[in-house]
Amino acid sequence: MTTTLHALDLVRLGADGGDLRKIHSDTVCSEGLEGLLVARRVPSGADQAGWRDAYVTTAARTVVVLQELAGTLRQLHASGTEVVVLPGAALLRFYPDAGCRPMDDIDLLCAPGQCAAVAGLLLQRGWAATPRHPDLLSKGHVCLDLHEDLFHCERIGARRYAGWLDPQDVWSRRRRASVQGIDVWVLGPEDEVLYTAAHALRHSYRRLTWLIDLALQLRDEKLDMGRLRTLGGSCGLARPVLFGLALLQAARVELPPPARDWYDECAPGALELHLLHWTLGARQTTCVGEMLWYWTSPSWSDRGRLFQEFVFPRTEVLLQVFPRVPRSLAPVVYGLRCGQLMKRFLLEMLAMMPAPANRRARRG
Amino acid sequence: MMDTPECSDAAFRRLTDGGLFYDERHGCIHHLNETAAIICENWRQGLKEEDIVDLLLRNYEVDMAVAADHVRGTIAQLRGSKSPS
Repeated sequence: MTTTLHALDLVRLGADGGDLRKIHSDTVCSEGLEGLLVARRVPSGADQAGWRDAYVTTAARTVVVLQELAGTLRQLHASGTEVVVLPGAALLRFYPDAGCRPMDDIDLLCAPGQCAAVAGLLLQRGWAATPRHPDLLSKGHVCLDLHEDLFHCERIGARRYAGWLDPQDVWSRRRRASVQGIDVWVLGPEDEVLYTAAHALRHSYRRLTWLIDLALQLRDEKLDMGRLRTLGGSCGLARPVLFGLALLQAARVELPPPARDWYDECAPGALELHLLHWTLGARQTTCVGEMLWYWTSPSWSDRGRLFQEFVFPRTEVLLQVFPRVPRSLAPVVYGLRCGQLMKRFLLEMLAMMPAPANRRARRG
Repeated sequence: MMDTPECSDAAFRRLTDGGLFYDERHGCIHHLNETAAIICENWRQGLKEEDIVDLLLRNYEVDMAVAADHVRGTIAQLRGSKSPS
């Protein structure tokens, strides 16, 4: 696991380029940042050939996936159905080229009430659903994750207490954009920033690319910072953006003046900053980010509800967490969940002991 | 690579020193070097062979015969592929 400081260095290199005397090549590769650093012309030392290979491989995979996505979107359009391409695929448009940002699955937002219909259309066209995940479909090289709500609140309903974007409003604010030569629907720029920041926090900044995404989005000329602040405040998602800004500030990433001003006015407190930096350092193993996201809820009772449903979600969701447990033995999953949580708690405690956040990074 | 506007061709993507071309017919990707990428991009945008040769002559120190040969060969290979435009 890399230190917080090292992670922040990589975020700065990814967002701004530059030179760093000592790059830990292993971390660059494990984060999938080789392609971006090649495009940013960051010197790679002895790993030049390896980075270039990874860059071209990422580009090739991205082109193939986007071609398959384009074909699927054409089919859906012909059936009178539209979907919005969510970050990360949608954010490829902020990167120099197709080799700079590796992707896993492609997240698609369906029109309100249309998720099952879209899944049905895709199944008719040869896509296969993952057992117990009817909204997770795969075909060839591509895996699609269908959303009806940006944060999958249909799975964990209490999540909306930590900030929620009304799907109807989000849908009405969508717009066309070109992603690596393919015209698609994407979120409105402010929605996209709120989603990226909350998603990254919820997953404890597990991939540094998400922080680089945020930095690039904040520089988008189409982004209205005043509108972002207003929308973030009204939907309860301003804190995750400020948390992201805190890490970008600590990484000394170039930010537009309105973003810096917002951060200066509303910077997180010392304890939150400490936890953020610790979370970034432990990002591969911790779920503290999700806890921090719940903490942004203004009400103690809502935080309690969020925590309760996170620990023990409804049975259908737990059966997704433990896919090998037969449906007939559903009550067993609660026992398994207890064991899983105890193990997770012990691991988190062990991880906290030897790795306090680096003081320099914490000061930001 | 030459400084040209953002490419809106999904089957061809520019990289830092070359490009990728998605060959739909054969279901494969071609990794192109710098000059092949220029030829591919401009040919897919509708430029004629002789105009692409001129473009190479303006930007590289190369004989006309060599440039023409390179352009002809690359385009012949591209014609063997079918891709959405």
